[in-house]
Amino acid sequence: MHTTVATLCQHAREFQEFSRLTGRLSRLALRGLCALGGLGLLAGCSADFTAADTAYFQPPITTTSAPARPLRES
Amino acid sequence: MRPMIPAYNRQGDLLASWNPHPGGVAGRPTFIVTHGGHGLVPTNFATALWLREEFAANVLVLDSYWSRGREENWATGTRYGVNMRVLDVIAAARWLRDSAGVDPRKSFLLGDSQGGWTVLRSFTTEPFFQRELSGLLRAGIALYPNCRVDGTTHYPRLGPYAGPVLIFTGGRDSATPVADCAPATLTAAADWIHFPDATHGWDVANRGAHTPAVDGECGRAMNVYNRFAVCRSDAATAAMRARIRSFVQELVAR
Repeated sequence: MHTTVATLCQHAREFQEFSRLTGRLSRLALRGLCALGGLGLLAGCSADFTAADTAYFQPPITTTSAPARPLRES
Repeated sequence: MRPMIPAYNRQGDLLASWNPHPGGVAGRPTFIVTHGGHGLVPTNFATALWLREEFAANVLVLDSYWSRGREENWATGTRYGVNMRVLDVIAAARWLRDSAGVDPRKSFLLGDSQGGWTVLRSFTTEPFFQRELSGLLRAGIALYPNCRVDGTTHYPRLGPYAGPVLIFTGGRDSATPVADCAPATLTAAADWIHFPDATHGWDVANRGAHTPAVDGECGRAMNVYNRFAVCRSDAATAAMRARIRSFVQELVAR
C-alpha cells in the first residue's frame, strides 16, 4: 500500500509540474483525481476488528449485573 | 430462558434457552438460533422446534438484547449491532463446546434478519473473529440478512467467508433489500437462494411457535425505523427448509 501511495504521489508531482505548463484546467483535473483517489484509499483501508474493540462492543448485561432482590420482604 | 451463557468479557450471563436432545447431547447436530432486530420472537422458537424435530438436534436459542435490557434495530448503527452479536456467538459456541459437550464439527449458526447479518459477519474472514471462532462452528445459515456495509465499525465488511454459509433472500423484502447486498457478499456463500416473491420474514410464526402459521397473511413491523411488510409464505418456508436439510445433512455426513 505504501509503495502504491508513493508511486501515486510521484505521478501527482509529475502531473503538477506538467499542469504548471498547461494551466488552470489541468490543476482542477488533478484535484479531482486526488479527491477520488483519497476516497478510494479510505474505503480500502478500513481497520480490522481488534481485541481493543471488544470493550466497546460488550455493553453491560443487565440480567445479571444487578443483585437479585426478593419480590417481597418476608 | 435464563441467564446462563457467560458473556465474552465474563461480565454477566446472556439469556438463553438450552435444549439438549432427550436422547443425549453427543453425536448430534447442534444449532445456535440467533434473533433479528426485534429480539427473540415466536418465529425463532418455531425455527428451534423445527430444527430439533428435523435433525434430532440440540438447540440453543440465544438472546443478545433482553439480556441488556433493550431491543434494537439494524438501522440504528450503535454498539449493539453486528460486532456485539458476533462476540455473543463466540461466547455461546465456547459454552456449548466446553460446558455442554457438543461436537463443534456438527455445530451450526442460524440467524434471521439481524441474526442473519450476525451469521455473515461471524464467518467473514476477519482475523480476530476467525481466531476466536476457530473450530467452534461448522457452518452458517442466514435468512433475509441485513447486508449494509459502509466500512465503519458499525457496518463492517461481510465476506468472503471462512466456512460454508447458506444465504436466503426475498425479492419483495423492503426491510433488508437484497439490493443492499454487495454481489460478492452473496456469491461468496456456499449457496444463495433467492425467492423473488417473498417479503422479509416469510417464515413468520404468525400464530405462535406451537400453532401452524396462516399462509399468505401479511402484517407490518412495529418499530419507528422501518415499518416493513411481513407476509407468511408456506411455499418459501418449505423450500428454505428443504435446502437447509440438504445443506446440513451433507456437512454432517462428511
